[in-house]
Amino acid sequence: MDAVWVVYGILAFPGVASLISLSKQWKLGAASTLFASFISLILSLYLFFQGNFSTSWFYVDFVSRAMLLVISTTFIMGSFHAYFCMDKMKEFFLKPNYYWLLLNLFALTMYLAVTTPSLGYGWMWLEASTVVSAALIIVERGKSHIESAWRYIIIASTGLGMALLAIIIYGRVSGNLLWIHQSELATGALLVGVLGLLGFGTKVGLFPMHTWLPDAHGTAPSPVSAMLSGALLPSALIVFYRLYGIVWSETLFTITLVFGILTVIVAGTMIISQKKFKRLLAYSSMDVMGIATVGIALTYYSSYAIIYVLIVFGIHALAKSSLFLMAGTLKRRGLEDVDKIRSLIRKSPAMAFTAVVSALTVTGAPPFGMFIGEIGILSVLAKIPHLSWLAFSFLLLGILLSFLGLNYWILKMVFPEEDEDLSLNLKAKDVSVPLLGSFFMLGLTVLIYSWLIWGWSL
Amino acid sequence: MIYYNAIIDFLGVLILIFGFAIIAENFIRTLIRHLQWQSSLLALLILAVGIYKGVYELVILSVLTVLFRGWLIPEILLKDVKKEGIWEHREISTSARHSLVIGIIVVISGFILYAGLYPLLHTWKAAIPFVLILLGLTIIILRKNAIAQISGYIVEENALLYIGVVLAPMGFLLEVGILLDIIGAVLLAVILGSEKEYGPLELEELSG
Repeated sequence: MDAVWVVYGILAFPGVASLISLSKQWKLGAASTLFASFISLILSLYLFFQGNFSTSWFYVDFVSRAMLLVISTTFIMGSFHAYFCMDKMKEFFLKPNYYWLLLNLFALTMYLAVTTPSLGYGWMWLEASTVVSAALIIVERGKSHIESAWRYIIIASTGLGMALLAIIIYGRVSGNLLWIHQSELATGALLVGVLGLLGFGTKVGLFPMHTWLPDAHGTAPSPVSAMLSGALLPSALIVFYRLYGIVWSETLFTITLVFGILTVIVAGTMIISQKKFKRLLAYSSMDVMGIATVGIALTYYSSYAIIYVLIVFGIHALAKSSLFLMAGTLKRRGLEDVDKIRSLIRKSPAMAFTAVVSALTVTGAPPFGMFIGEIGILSVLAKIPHLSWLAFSFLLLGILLSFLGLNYWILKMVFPEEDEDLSLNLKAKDVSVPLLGSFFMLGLTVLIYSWLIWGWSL
Repeated sequence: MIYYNAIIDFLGVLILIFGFAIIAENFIRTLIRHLQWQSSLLALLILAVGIYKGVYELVILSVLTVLFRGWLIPEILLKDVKKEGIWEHREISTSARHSLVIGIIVVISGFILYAGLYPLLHTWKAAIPFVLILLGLTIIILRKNAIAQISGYIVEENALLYIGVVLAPMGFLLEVGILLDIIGAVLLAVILGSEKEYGPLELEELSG
């Protein structure tokens, strides 16, 4: 099969499913979305093992192929969990069939953002994803949903406005908007890089432009939070990575590194003081994106760093999606505050297993997959020519803070306390997707180790 | 060429003046009218560039700009203001006067910053929209009222399209314009939906 047709397939299935979702029968939309997410995952998996190619519409390299897989993974997890929990959703602000329509469009915009050869269209699809995901945040009725969506659109779109400015200046200087086949930009183009970092960084949730992130992740339905965290933030960072490769400046490297490290430290500090489970997870996502930003910055010194970033994205997509879906299940049973969730191991061993494995993974505990990614990034950081020990120490401090913060809360939720009687009334369908997600994550970890030990060629 | 430059500069100055009017205005109805004028002037500017450079996507963009941002969004907002007595006159809490002073500082700083960009861009034509972007950001940050914030956002959108057409007049900007209009529509839908259920959307702060 020609690889380009596989890409068309990945795009066509959610596209058709979104059209079917226009039907007033929400079950028809749901069924087509489940089918589309499944086929997209299979096609993404097939494409992952194919070679690079480009057309006037697509540029598919190893990074794009890995990102397609990351997006498909969160899409399928989000879709199935959304279907299983549809009866638990609160009153709809939009009609239920629009929920499925928007889920498909959300996946579609991200697929397009990571496969385009044009910075302009990369920006456009990310901005379109803002519109779609904001609508998904307000899909359930509630004032907090509306305020979160408002903050999200205003802050993310304003930030992306800076990125558009960067792209316009780039278009002026280079004569087109393509990022492929470009030599480095002339002197003065550092501005393009800094504006791009600020703009795309807002969408990624880098400090100090992160203020929309905890609200949006905290109030969105949990499948949407999973897709926001596991797929959208990495997609925005990958579009920035394309721009970073063109600007290619040591000053931009330093600025990106500082933003990444500050994000990790701030997120690590904020995690400790969180009261709501989903906001806690949102700050954890911010922490992981900070680490990935450091990895992107380090591609200036070692192109291999992008492999570690992609490992981080892949594992994070599975682990964080599992955690968000689990948090959503608990929230719908009135358990939103971290200090009220107790004794999960007694009430739902499956949920307790998911929580512990996913939290350990997402915080980089050995031997889980994220550990490989984080150690890889730290080892490249240790080799940079100037002040590597300082950057290394601060990044390690941030990673440790988030490790302690998230695992402290998760262990408090999981292990029993005396006289604790918690009735969750969970069914198998409530925990099946997060549990499967954590198993797949363990499987992916084994694959990563196999790749390291036997050097599988991708 | 001389006429073209004169027209672009004249329209640019008018657009900047309306930017100031928007930042200083605390009467919601008048603020929307200023926004309407600014967007219509921008549509004229895009039309002039589109015709002069022969980029016909820009001509379509100018029509869309006047229809959507010059007419539809402001008219819906005005209709909404009439319905909600609370927004008939002034904002509930306003920092408009302080905004004007901060706006002047932002404009001066913007021009100084742009001087640093000149060696890269080799044109002064983008100085006004560059400053206008900063003004739009200032409005969004300083104002709490959702309608004032949406006007800040539209000022920023207008400035981005303006800078796009003077720096890199390509067909891609038409798609950008359509997308930005859709975002404006979604913001509007959020405001109207929120009001219907919970009353006017006043945000205490734009932080987590």
